Amino acid sequence: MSGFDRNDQIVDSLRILGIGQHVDDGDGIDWADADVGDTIHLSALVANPGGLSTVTVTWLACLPIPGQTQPCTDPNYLRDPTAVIPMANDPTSGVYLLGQGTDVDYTVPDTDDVQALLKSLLTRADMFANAQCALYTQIPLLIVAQDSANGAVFAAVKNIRLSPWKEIQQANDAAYMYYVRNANPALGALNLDPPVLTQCDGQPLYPGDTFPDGPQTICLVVGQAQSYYTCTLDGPDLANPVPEQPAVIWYTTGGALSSFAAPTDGSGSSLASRTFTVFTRPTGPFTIYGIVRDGRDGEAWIAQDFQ
Amino acid sequence: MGLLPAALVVCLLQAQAVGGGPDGGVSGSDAAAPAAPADAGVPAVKPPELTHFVPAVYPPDAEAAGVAGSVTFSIVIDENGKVGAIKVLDPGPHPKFAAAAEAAVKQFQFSPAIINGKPTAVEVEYRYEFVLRKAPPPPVPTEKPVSLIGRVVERGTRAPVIAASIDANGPTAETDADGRFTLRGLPIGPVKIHIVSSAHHPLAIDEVIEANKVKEVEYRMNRRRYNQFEAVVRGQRERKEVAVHEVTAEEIATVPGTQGDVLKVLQDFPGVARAPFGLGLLIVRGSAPQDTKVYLDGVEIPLIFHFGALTAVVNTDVISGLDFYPGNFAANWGNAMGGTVDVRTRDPKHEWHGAGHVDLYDGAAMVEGPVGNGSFFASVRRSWVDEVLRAVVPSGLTVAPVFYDYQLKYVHSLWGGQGQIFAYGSSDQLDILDQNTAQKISFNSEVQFHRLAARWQRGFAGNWRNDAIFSLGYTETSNEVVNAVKLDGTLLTASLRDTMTWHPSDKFTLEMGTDSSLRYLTYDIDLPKLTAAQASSAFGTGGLNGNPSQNTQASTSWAQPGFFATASWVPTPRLRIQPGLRFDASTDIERGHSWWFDPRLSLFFTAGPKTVLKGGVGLYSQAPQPQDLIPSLFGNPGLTFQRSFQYSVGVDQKLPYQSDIEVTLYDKYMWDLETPTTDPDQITKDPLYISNKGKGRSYGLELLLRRQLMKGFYGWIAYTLSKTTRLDDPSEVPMGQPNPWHLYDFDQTHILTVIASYQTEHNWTFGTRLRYVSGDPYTPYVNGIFNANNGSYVCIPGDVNTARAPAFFQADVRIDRRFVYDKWIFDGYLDVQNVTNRANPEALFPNYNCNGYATLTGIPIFPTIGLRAEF
Repeated sequence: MSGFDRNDQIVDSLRILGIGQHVDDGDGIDWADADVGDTIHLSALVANPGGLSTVTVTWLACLPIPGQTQPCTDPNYLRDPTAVIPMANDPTSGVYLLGQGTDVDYTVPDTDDVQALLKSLLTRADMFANAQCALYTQIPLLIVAQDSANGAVFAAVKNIRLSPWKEIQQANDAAYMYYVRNANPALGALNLDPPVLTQCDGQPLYPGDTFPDGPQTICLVVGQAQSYYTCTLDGPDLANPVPEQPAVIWYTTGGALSSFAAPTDGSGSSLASRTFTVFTRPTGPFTIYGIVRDGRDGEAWIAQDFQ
Repeated sequence: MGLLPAALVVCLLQAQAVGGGPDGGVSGSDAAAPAAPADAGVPAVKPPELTHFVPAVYPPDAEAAGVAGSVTFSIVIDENGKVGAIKVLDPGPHPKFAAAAEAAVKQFQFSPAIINGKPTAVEVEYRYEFVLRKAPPPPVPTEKPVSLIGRVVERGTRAPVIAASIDANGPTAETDADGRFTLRGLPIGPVKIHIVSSAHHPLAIDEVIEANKVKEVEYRMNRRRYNQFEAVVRGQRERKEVAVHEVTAEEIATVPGTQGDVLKVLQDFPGVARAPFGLGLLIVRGSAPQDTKVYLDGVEIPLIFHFGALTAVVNTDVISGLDFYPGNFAANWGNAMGGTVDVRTRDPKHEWHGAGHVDLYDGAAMVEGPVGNGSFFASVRRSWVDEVLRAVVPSGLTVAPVFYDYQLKYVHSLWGGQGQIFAYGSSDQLDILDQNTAQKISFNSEVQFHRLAARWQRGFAGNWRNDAIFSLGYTETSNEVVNAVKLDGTLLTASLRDTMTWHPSDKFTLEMGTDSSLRYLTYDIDLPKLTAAQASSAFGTGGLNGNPSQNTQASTSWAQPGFFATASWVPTPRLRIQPGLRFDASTDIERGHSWWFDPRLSLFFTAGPKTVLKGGVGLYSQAPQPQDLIPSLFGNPGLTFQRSFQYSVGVDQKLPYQSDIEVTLYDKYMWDLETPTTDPDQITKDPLYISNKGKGRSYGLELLLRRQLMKGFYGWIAYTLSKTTRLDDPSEVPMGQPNPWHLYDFDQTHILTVIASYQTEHNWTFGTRLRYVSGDPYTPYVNGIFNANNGSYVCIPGDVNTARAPAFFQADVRIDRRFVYDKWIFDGYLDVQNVTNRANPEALFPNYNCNGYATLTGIPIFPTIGLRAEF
């Protein structure tokens, strides 16, 4: 096979690199799951070579309507994502305008429809094997970034996670009581030249530090989140709970990124292959982006500038 | 054979006239000089045999000058075995040979050719041999004692050499139908024996004759060309179709790029689109692959190629030929909108023979011989691709395809006719294996079928004839993604195909019969049931959004009765009219039409001695596949027949040098096509997945210029110029937007195939195949949407099939060498595909953000070595 453009990690045009959902219960944990009545703080990591002053970010949500496709995810509508924006004016379309800007807040409405949507998860849990690992539903968001300076448009879809976690916490039903409410990954510093593969504890790079020349191995410290396990598996065949395996996707505005060559003997290769990379800086200023996703709709990122 | 409203059979018969003594007399072969026996045993079509031989007068001046040689004719032998039109193809080395031989040949009497059990007019090639020899010894009052008795057989095949001339420097003899001869009165001491046969290299042997002893010998002659076309009956039977392509196994066994697999040559005919990656899909005149039916000896089989089209499901050693109907076929065939392929196995030989071959993919063995008064063959093949992969892949995962097939056939006289019992089967299994543990993981796919059938053919008084085939079938498919999806199904069938033929005169033939089946399907399916929104989402669905995997175990039975009638009426010697009517029904169709009458008509007009004009028109119907009717999971119980209207016109033109050209224009309208839909069921709101709202059209020109196998050379040029379009279900486009016709996925504007092969007298064969095909249409991506849940992009397609991939070109070469030993033959071949190592694009994959494409290319230069032995 030939012809692939491997330049997907170089940010040289308007891009959305990450979408985060954050629920603050006042307990100091950055939750990713939301229940009815929760206010979700939605944030977008937007990169644009010309700056963000001319960029407008529009947030749309598509609620399911039986028998209809959802414009936020229907390829026929996504040929021109900007055309979905005015559909928010039509209440029958299922499209809702959440706001504009890189950050918006959205409160999950405490309506009968949403209550029914989440409660149905609990009532149907007995029908699924390992339901406690998937006791959530997703609402698609369409995020459209438009640069008025050059007409550039970039669109992203984010499925935000809703779970009936409030009721689960009070439940005593084995079919779903072991669901672990998801929290966003916790991030530490950007580290340079990690000496071992089993952890990212090299030389921290802070804002204002100088990034050395030549190929450098870097990694991102990912702490053990509150939701380290996806669920507590119960029963004779489900004895070993599966932990989250957060992974980092790296981007930069200059220089070169290449995959970290993990050893083939398996020693520490899992963590290293998910969080390490090799980066060669450019001659001028640049920004490194590291986006961590936990595989359960939780994510976090760093965006660090270097001179 | 423009003038003959009959089958065209070409074979080469042989006879000899032996130069007489000084008086110029000629002693011809009194014995009948029957057709040389087929290389592959008793041919599917029995050639005419010479029953009354008249010797030619050896031209005195030729004899005086010592000129010998042969004259080759093309002669017509009618249904009564009488000689009709004669045409000199090769006058031989002396100007008077042709006239002398023609005068004799006109007085010959043959047994008529038998095709499908009935006498049929044929055209044959006939070679009359003028052989010089010394005058026979003067008659003696008493018969001399026997000195030498023996048999002449062909090296390698051990077939008897018939009508060979034995000359022992005076005494002469001819071999009989079993190749046996007797020489009398040879002198005591050393004797030189000369043996001459027109199809073989001359043989000279030194013998020593002892007094009062009879010497018994066996001589083995080398055929001039093995894999001999002279011994093969081939050509076209009486045609009911405007376009039918018929080939014999011997003719195409050495086509480059096929690895000796006869059925692979199907993809080289006009009207057949090229399948990507050589997958062996039969995409005929713009129809979907499943719209073309494949029959083996009249019994439908579900697939024709093993996994990845590595090889066909029938061993080439037992195939006599195939008929391929790309469209407008007669009412005898039905329930198909595309083409029809009828593969025929040959009858087993009555002598013990066997063959085996090995190549990189598999190995096969075949044995045949007499059993009682009948004969049988048994063939089995097993792949070893999986073993090869295990050996060459050191670790990790690999795909391990395993396949086998078998064919058994027994032929015996039965109740005044011929009875046959045959059993065919095939199995393909595809596992993804963990090389470290040899455990099956993740994915398993298997399809197997078995057929057991009985056939009885017999003629009756009043010019009636019946051909009945009753078969039982077992087809099993299994696809499983462990702990996720399971699709298992078993189909049992009982089928009857019975054709009654009435042939009261040369001007009228009526065929009528049934092509019916009873079917019983059981299935076991685990599949999540999605909502309409989920089914159309490209961004995945997580959690309990969907319904749980739903296990559905059920069974259903239904009948598919089919009846047909086809008449052939010749109102004038130049016109043949062939109307037909087909009835097809399927009792599992609950909504809409569950049956159709399809009228069909073909016309053949002989415009000249070498020109036939033809035309056909008809309706065609095809019942839904049973799995497409399974509700709620992936089918729509409301599906009904797909329909098409097909018409075509064409011309067949005979050309010099045993060549002919066939040009056909066709047009096919399709409606009620099965097509994807996102419409939900109006009552349950479940997605229907498939609807009958599709339409289609395919039209084009097909050209086949073909040189028949003659003097070691054959070849053809096939060209198709076509356009195929589709109209999708309206739900596939957003509301309010137009739903235009678009190109079909396999629309290939130009398809050109050139095949040429030449066999030397030293048993080398050189062949090449060149193919040029327009690239397939594809749907370009117009946007890429970032999927923020995983950091990838989802490509958004634009208008359907509005772009086209680059063209395909491939050159293949093949070299065969045959080594002939006394009692067996050994073949080796080198088949090199894509000899120019061209990087042909087979698939396009989008760039990371869908703004560009990467190309997945097809096979690079790919040599294959194969070995074959037969005894």
